[in-house]
Amino acid sequence: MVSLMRKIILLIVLLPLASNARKNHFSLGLEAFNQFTGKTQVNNEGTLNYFSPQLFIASEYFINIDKENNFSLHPNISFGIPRTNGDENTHSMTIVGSFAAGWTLDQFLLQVGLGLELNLIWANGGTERLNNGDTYTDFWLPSGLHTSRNLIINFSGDWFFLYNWALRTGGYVYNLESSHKRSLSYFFGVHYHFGAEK
Amino acid sequence: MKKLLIFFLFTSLQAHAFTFNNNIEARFEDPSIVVNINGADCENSQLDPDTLYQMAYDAVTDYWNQVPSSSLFLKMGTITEDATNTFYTEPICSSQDPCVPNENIKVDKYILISCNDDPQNFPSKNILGLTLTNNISGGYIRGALFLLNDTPGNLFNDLSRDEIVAVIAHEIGHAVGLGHSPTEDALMYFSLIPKRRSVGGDDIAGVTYLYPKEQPFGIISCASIDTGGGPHFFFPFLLGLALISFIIRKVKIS
Repeated sequence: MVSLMRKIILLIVLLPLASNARKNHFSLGLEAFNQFTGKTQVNNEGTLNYFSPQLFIASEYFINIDKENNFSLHPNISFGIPRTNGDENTHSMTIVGSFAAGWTLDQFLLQVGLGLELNLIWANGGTERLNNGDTYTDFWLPSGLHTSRNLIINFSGDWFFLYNWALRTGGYVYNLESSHKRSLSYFFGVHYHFGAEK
Repeated sequence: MKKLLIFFLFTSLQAHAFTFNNNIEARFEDPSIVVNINGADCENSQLDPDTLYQMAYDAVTDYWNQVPSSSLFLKMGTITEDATNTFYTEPICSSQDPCVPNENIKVDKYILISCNDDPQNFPSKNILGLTLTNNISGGYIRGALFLLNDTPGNLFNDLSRDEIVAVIAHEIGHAVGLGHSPTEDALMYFSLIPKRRSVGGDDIAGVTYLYPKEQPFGIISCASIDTGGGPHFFFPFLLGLALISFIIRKVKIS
């Protein structure tokens, strides 16, 4: 047990010395994004959205601010593909902008930061005829664009399985101040790093 | 890679098509809305006001107050003793087609939940509840009334407690301005589904559209109305300060 602890401590101390500093560069990724995990019912069987991902495109700039200690900064913008239904009555789209501090540890990059998530919802108005119990009624559809803004704490981890390719997973935490509205979204995907030479 | 892309595209096409409950887009001006209970007993449904209060609490807590992207926050108020019999017996509309709200049971500044035994309101026992935003001006809902069907032979005695909570949550959805949804997973679907556990994606889109969260500027007001006992809003603020301090220090060193 003591031997194992020594190994773990040695690993923690020595790994940062194995510098893997990279130049400033840009990365582009494709991610699966699961929003507000466990908050949404997804079918009439009572299943919650623990795995109902949507496609996200993520772009990020890697700014190396301390090559010796492998610290970096990461402005990031990600957006989802606009969603709609068959009759195209209402649409929604999610955009996330964030700024994170990063630490490179051999083949791994860990990030934590703050950001803003925008949820855009829009429609063209009109009515929709829907069942209203014992009759059908025309219900009014929204008209125009409304946007919600959520502050987020974002965290992620990258594993560079090839020099320019990394697998990424992470999450966003919402509404820490509210016990009811506190929530977590998670994502996972792959990023390509353009010009990431040492 | 191609298969992965097809999977992503398939899963990203989720249906959302919420509607509004009124012939205009209307919402409460303040997203912090009080829900009161009428003090009359629901004789035929065997629901006393205290039981109804607790069910309404569960409805707002387990459903509408859970939406992270919305500023809507429903707060339980009191069991009111004002005009209890009027709310229990009178029709919701003084005339029909179109409904002219009955001035005797007009609600001001909050949502009122009451049982009601008027057969004009409930021509069928299948209608579990009826909600009217009976006080609208300038695009804002000033008050809403939700009547539970307490006519003899109503179906509430056949429902489980969780199902009644879901019915109350559905009607509160109407009270805050939402209409029905065509998607079965939505709480605002016209019919009760047996395994209702949470709001659906369509409900979240609808309530976010009407009451969007507007952080960082709206964060202080939201924190002030939450009595859930969680960490306060300044935690992310402190984290931001720490991040900025770290960057400034690094820039100075370089």
